[in-house]
Amino acid sequence: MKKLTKHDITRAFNRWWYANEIPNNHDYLLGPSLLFALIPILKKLYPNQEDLKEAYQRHLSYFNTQAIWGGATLTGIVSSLEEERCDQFQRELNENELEVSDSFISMTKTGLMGVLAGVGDTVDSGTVQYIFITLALPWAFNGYWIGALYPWIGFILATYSYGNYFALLGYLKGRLAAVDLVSGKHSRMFTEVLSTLGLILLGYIGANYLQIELRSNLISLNLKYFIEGLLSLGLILIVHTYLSKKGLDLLKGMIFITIIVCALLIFGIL
Amino acid sequence: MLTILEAFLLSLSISIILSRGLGYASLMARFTPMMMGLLTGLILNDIPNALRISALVQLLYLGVLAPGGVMRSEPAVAVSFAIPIIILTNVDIRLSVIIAFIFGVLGGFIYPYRIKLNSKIIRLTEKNVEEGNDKALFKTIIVFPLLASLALYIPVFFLLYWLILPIAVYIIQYVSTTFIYSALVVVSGALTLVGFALSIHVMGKSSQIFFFVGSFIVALLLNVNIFTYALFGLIISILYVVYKERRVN
Repeated sequence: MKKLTKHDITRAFNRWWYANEIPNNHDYLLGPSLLFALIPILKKLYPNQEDLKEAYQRHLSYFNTQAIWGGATLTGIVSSLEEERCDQFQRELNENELEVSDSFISMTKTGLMGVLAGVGDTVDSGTVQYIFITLALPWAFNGYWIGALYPWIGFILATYSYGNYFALLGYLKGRLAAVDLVSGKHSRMFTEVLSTLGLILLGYIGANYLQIELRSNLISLNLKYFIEGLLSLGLILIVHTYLSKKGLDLLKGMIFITIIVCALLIFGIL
Repeated sequence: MLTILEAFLLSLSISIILSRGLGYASLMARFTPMMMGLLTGLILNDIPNALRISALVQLLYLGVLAPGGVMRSEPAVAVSFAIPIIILTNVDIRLSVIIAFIFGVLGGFIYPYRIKLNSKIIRLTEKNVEEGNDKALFKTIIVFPLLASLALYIPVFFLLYWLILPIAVYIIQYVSTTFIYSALVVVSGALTLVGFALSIHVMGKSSQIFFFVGSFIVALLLNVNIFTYALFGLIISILYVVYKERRVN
């Protein structure tokens, strides 16, 4: 029997969206944020104070995931599990007979949070964020304030919209929602279009805004610009290959490029 | 040097961002230098230069991800020091990249103390959970962690902007008169290449690197607006993915 409404799920997502990293701690990581998100739902499902206390206990547990793909989806999934549990509870099954036991809920959370976070970090923090940023970088390089404000607002609106959708999807489809997001055809195609677009935009920014200047005055200005671009591209690919082998570390890459550039400086190329 | 008011406003802004007090909207504000750059520009009343510096520093941090929320170098902290230092010393803007990185690392040391404070507050949350007290839960999950973070970061960053930043300005001014200055500017500018190398990794699979290389060369040859370019890029991306999907089937 359905007790929760779409409005309840959106409200839980809003609370999760805001709490997110605020109470981050060593014991439960983002656990308290999920508990905070679920409070109104748990109060609605468990009018009895003792049951409510137990429900709070159940959700003050270790939880760490990406906010949108992981957190929003799981807010929905856990809400639907709690609703089911409450329903079985009312049919007076005891703890051993419950299909949705405490351990089932906690296994669902811990089992899915990692996979979903993997997708979410790559898509949101790694791609969507930088699509907005690269689109606005030309403004920023020209000193316009919109270059900072546009990507910030764009990213917030985009992630909030699909986050809310994921929360509802999680509630309606339960754990199948996670399967859809991680390996579903539409989700895979969507993320691949985004990553391809992201790389294309990255190429545009690289070609237009990298500042590697050749010292030589012998070549004509147009050609010089083109060769400087190719040099930057070549250096990026060299660093890329190096980091693929040695691990993705900003500092390692910086030391490596410093050595190369120093060599180019000594030979009088830059 | 910065006035007391400027140092205070900068420390207030960065503390709000680091405390994650804007919900998920804090993510981009903390993990990219753009928003803190804009705020710094507002506070110092030099938005154009602030944005130019932020954009350059952004290139370094393009591919930086923080799985689990831990960062070695904090982009927002980084740019909030780089902008005043560059404006006050009037050196080549490219130097902002290396200055930003150094202060970003300092920020990376300071940030985790917030988690330590939260790990004390969580004992109160545990108590409130046992009592089933949801009003108190709001305090210990949201209000106390926010207040604790602000109380921690505001004084620390205020002292850094007010007392440590002038030392950095002095050092940079000195370096700009020595022979290593011009080489340092070139190296610092070249560091932004690393951001691109990392970002290719984070965004796509290795089979997609062709799109980056191809787009780079095309963009060198063409002179078009980024939005036009993005539109064609989007069409190409969709065609590519649909074609690939068909071939698999």
